[in-house]
Amino acid sequence: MNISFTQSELNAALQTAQKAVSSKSILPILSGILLNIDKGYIDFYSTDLELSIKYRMAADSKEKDAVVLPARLTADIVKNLPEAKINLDIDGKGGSVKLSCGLSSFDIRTYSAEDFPRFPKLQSEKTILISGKKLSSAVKQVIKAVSKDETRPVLCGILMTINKGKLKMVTTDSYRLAIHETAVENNAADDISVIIPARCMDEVSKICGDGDIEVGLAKNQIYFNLGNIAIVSRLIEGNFPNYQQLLPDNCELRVKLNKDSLVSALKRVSLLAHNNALVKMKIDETKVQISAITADIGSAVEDIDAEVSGNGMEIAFNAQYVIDGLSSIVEEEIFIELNNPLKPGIIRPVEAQDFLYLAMPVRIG
Amino acid sequence: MARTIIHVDMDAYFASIEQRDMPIYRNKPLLVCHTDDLSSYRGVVAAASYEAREYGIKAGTSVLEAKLKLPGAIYIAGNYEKYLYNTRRLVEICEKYTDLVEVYSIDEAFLDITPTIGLFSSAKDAAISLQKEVEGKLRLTCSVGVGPNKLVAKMASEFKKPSGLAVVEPKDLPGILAPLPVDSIPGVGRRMAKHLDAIGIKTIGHLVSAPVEILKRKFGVIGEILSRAAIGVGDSPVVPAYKGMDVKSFGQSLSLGKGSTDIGYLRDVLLGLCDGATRRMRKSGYLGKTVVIYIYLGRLFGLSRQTSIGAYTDLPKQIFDTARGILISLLEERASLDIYPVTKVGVSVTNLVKKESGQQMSVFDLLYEKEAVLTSIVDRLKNKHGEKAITRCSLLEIRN
Repeated sequence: MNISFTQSELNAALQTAQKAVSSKSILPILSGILLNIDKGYIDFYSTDLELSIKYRMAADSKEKDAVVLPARLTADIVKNLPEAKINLDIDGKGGSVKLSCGLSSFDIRTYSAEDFPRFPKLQSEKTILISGKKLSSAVKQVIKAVSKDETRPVLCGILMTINKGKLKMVTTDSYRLAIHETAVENNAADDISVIIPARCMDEVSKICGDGDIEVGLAKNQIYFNLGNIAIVSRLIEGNFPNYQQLLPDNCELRVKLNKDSLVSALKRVSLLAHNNALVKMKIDETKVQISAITADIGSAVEDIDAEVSGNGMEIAFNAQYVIDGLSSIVEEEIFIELNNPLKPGIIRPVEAQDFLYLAMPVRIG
Repeated sequence: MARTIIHVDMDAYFASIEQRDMPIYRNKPLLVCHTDDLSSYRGVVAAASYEAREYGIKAGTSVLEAKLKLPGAIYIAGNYEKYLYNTRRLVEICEKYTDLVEVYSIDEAFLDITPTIGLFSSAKDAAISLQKEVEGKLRLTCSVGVGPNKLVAKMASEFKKPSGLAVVEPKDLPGILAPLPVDSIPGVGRRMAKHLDAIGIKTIGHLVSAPVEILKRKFGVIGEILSRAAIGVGDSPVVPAYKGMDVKSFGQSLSLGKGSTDIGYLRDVLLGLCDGATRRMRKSGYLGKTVVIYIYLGRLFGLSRQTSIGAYTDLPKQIFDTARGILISLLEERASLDIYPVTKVGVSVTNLVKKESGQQMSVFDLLYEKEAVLTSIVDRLKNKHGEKAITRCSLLEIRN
């Protein structure tokens, strides 16, 4: 059968569907995208068995056919084609497709559609509506603190809780922890607490736009309905660390600083830090002194004016962890709250109450 | 890379030492017994001279049975200090051939001569020279097996006892192994042999042709090890007891005698081991991140598995929480447990860093803060009043 697209609509579909294609899958079929043409729609399906994406568009054909295209190759071809009409000629036997556009023509071997895993059918136990805008800004703020260490799967996800009208997203890689909190209308029957793979949330936040999105929860899966796109992901099982226990009730020392000056100072000083990491912060009545030293290389020191309440202290951090926390904050003015050199430092915006970032110190002295 | 492993097995060790030292024992049936009273019928034979073996008496035979069969033999009690002295001399000789010498038991050692094989004209030459040197210096005979791994080397040393020497090349493995009965695989005892016999497996050749899936279903993880052993594959390393090496791990293990299948008991044992290993870590100022658990099922089958904790620690609870998870997953292979109880449990913490300034702290340091305080109090008590001053209630039974 023959179907046609514009370059931009096919490119959009393939780029989105490609997000769930794993580059290191053991099953060759999972390196493909399933095109299912039926009832006047073309559905693009992809999955790595953890994350599954479905992208729907209207078709100009009423016929029925299905084929699995190699994802990377097809997406690269389409990306490099000019904005024009693209024809896809699907060989009835399922051996190959012919893709043509203007004077270019490609013959691409395909996989059999029957071998492609079915898109997960979800029996939602709960369905809620979340504002896409709130969701994506929350994800952007917390995603930097997600762990990349796959030996602790729980830390590779985002803890999402909805409780008493508050949506919370929490991440930690055990060296820092980020919490975003925002008010939502919780229309689910009871509270929600799930750990969602960070990769899934990252994709959802990039695609979702500002409007409300429907989120469905089943026993071990989560479902996002984004209009013509549906995303289903496995949930991460396990217990998220009890982060509430980490948050100090009060603080001995509070420093008010300009975020940008602190970020630039940290970037400069950390160039002289051992492994670009350890910087010391020495806080007295009026300023924060940032310093770093590497044996045989040299040292750096920089003062930043600050409003300080409490007694002075010297504490050390991995500079990158502090920079990550600061750059997740939109506001200009921030607080750093400290208790002692072996307790975490809390970074938060001065005005907004929606974000908190905790960085564990480096042992010194 | 192909390995060359030598297994040295002393012939009728304790009996041979006694015969060497006491000329009147020579050429006579001599039984070295493990007993508190030689005039009684209690205890077992620890070693039987070759003269006694002709009457069907061997190590493990009860003294009662031996006395009934051979009342005229010479019965003596073992002098283990003397045997250990000889073992140390044996190890010194072995260490001239390679630094990778593993003392496997009081009368056996493995040598990994892969790195040093170039010093000899062949593996066989090295084995002959080692055998001669042991005979010359200790005036004791030994059987020597050479193979591509510990398993094959150990089997080879059994081929021609006493004073035997056998070299098994990887290419000859199938022909040599196939006709042997299954119980010639080290660790396959009478009970395992019976279970295998029940499904028609009598020889190693039969074992090779048995589908691994069936063996796995019937014997759990042991099935897989068996299947590999049958084709002469074994990759366990020769582990030398180095002196003065860099600290790479802190470990502790406990042999459980006849063994146990009680998961609750094994878990308590593990907790005790975690306490012991982390106590030494704290004394030396190390933090670790990877936990390795190993268990022995029966006499020879060892299983091990490891997991990363995610953050550096020296606290027993944190190590134990991870270790317990691994232990349970290992024990889930119930099929193997039914045949072989757990005879040894060990824990080892690796991936170490020195606890010093410059160490990035983790949120788990805070989550386990109470335990850190408690542990440091327990440490102080032990430092002042000795290691036995304080223990966990759940470990009282084990300690007694």
